[in-house]
Amino acid sequence: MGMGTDTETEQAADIDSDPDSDHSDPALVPRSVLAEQVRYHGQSITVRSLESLIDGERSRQNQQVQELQVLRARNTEIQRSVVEELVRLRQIAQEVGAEVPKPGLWSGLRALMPGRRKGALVEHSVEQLLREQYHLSVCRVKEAADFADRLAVAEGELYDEIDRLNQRIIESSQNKAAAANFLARLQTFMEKTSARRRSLGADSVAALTMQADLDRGRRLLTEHAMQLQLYHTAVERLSQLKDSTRMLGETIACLRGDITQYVMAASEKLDLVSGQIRAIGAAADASATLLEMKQSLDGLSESLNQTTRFVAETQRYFRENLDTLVGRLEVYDHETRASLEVNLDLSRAADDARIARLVQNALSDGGAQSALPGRRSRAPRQLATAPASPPDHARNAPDRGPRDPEGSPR
Amino acid sequence: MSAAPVSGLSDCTLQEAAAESYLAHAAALVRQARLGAQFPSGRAVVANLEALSARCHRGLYAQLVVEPRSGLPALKEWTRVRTDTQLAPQVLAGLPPQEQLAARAPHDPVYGKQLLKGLYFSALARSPPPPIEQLAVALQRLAAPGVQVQVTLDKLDARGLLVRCMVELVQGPSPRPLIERRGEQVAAAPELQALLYRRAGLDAEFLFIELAAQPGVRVRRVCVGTIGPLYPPELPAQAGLCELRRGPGGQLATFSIDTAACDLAVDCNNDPLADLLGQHLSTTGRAEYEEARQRLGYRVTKDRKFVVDGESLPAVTALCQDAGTRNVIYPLRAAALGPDSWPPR
Repeated sequence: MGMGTDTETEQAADIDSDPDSDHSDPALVPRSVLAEQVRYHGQSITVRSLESLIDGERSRQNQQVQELQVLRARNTEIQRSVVEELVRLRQIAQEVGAEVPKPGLWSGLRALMPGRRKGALVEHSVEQLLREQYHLSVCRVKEAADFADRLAVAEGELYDEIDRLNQRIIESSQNKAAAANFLARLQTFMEKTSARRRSLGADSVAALTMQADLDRGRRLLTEHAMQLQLYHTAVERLSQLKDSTRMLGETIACLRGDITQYVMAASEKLDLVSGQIRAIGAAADASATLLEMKQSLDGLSESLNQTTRFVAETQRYFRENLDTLVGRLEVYDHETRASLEVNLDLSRAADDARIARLVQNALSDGGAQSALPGRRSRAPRQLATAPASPPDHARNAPDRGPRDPEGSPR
Repeated sequence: MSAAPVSGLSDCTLQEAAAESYLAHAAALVRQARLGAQFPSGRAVVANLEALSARCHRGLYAQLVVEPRSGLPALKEWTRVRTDTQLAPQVLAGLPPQEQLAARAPHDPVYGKQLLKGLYFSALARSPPPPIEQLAVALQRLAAPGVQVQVTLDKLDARGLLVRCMVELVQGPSPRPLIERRGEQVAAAPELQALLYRRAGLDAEFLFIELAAQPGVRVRRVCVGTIGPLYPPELPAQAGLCELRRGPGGQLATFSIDTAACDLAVDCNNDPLADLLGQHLSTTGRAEYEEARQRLGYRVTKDRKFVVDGESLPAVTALCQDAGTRNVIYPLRAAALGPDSWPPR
């Protein structure tokens, strides 16, 4: 990060021709500071580009929040289905009592013989109901597993986003330091020049040259103070965005962990159930079949209980985290908007002042000064911050931030 | 020697290469059997086996569980194909954009898995495997005041075998008909669905008698076609029919048809592995049973065909000769023997 290419030695030689200049003091900032080109990294920053940058980041974040909202909606659906499935499971349990297999082929056949006909046929096969329930449960678990995969992708994207944000933050921070360093040097130069200017006669060449330097310095102060403010805002807002992004990432990681655990537990249960369902209807021994049925029901119940626990815990998680997160993001949005508005106002003020200055210069050359407000001389603006301690918080900017040195006509 | 065992063995888990080899052999056995309409659709079975293959799922599933007695994939595997096919549109809609996947998949396992899922679920969505379990009711004739229908239930039965149960019956007036009719639209009542589901794996004759016992029902034909057991070389040896396999690459499969129908001229058992129901009964029971048969007017036939590799062919031929049956035995074509022949043609 350089503040300019010229060295102190070169700057001193440059001003040696001015008899009024005092360059023997090494604490003095040379006049060449006025010609320095501050090198900012990356693209130049404006209020609009900053707004656009933050809007882009927020859009990405909104997308991730929407993903979570979808998950929440899906969770609600699962919860409803689980209730329905539990009712169905109870029905199946009742059917088990109605469909006790006969302990042998012949006794089954005998029951169908004339005079031995049994009662009305039952409406459901327990095996069929269990299979359907098994299929539903497998679907549910697979959906959850797929969701976990999608969350893993979302999590990866969020951490990529954090990397990107960190790069932007570092870049903005470097630029902020560059601006602050330059402004501090410029301010020192102007303070010294202003003091020396006061001790000189009004019409001397040296006094007029110093006045010109002060005017030039004020312009540079305005321009770079704005840059400093924007980079400061960028660092602050991007850092907050990064915090929110990290929080989202952590939320998603926790959810993914929960879902994965649930999927593993439920899958194990379902594997057991599939083995038990296979045996139902085949076993000749009624008590063994009933035992298998009961085990299947227990397995499915346990799988559903896992689902219920998962749903309940996730709902709580959503309530405690997502709503808070969304709330914070909204508050944050509000703060960002306010900050950007302030920056925009300042930018407009600076633009207006600059235009006014240009118009004034143009008119003074053309002899129409009477149409303009009188030029007022004003002391250089005092920056409230040092390089290590950049300008104040954005929301206080109207009170303490960079001001229009020319007194904006706004 | 029984061909319809109830599972007493734990499931057999095959890993990657063994699973691929097994699926290729199983599909070849099914294709070679030239299954007709009395069996579950061979095309549907092969399509499902193909969907279970890593060539389709791209390695997303590390292993395959097979029911060793039936030699067919276990319930959880058939269910896997069904659920994945059902969820395919939903999963595909949730995947990241294709370009993003292609760019990041080689470096990031998370995206790699998503890419594989994209390929797998796209394949399922493009040509979804037909279900191996379904119920269809076809109207055959309106014969006032009754209706004649053909009910077809395809099912993976409790033994892990694939079964098609086809029933032709006439539903006459009844307080609770098994066939619900609205104009020319017919459907199976829940009671009939449940009955078929429970009894599909049993003797056709037993189902015939049970159906005939229902009020207003006249049964014309019950036919149960069964795919399996299959004995590909990847499965461990076991007692019974499997013992007829010869050599390390020996394999065989059986496909049986069990029919009880009123239009059969004589009883005929051409199945070397099964007896007729009446042969199991006591003297007293047989009398009652014969009376029922006469009253209902049906005959029974059982038949079975085999698909077998060349080396095991003599043993299977000898089995049939010993039982006094004349069975169709398809020798397995050499081209269908290796996993490289996948998908089977």
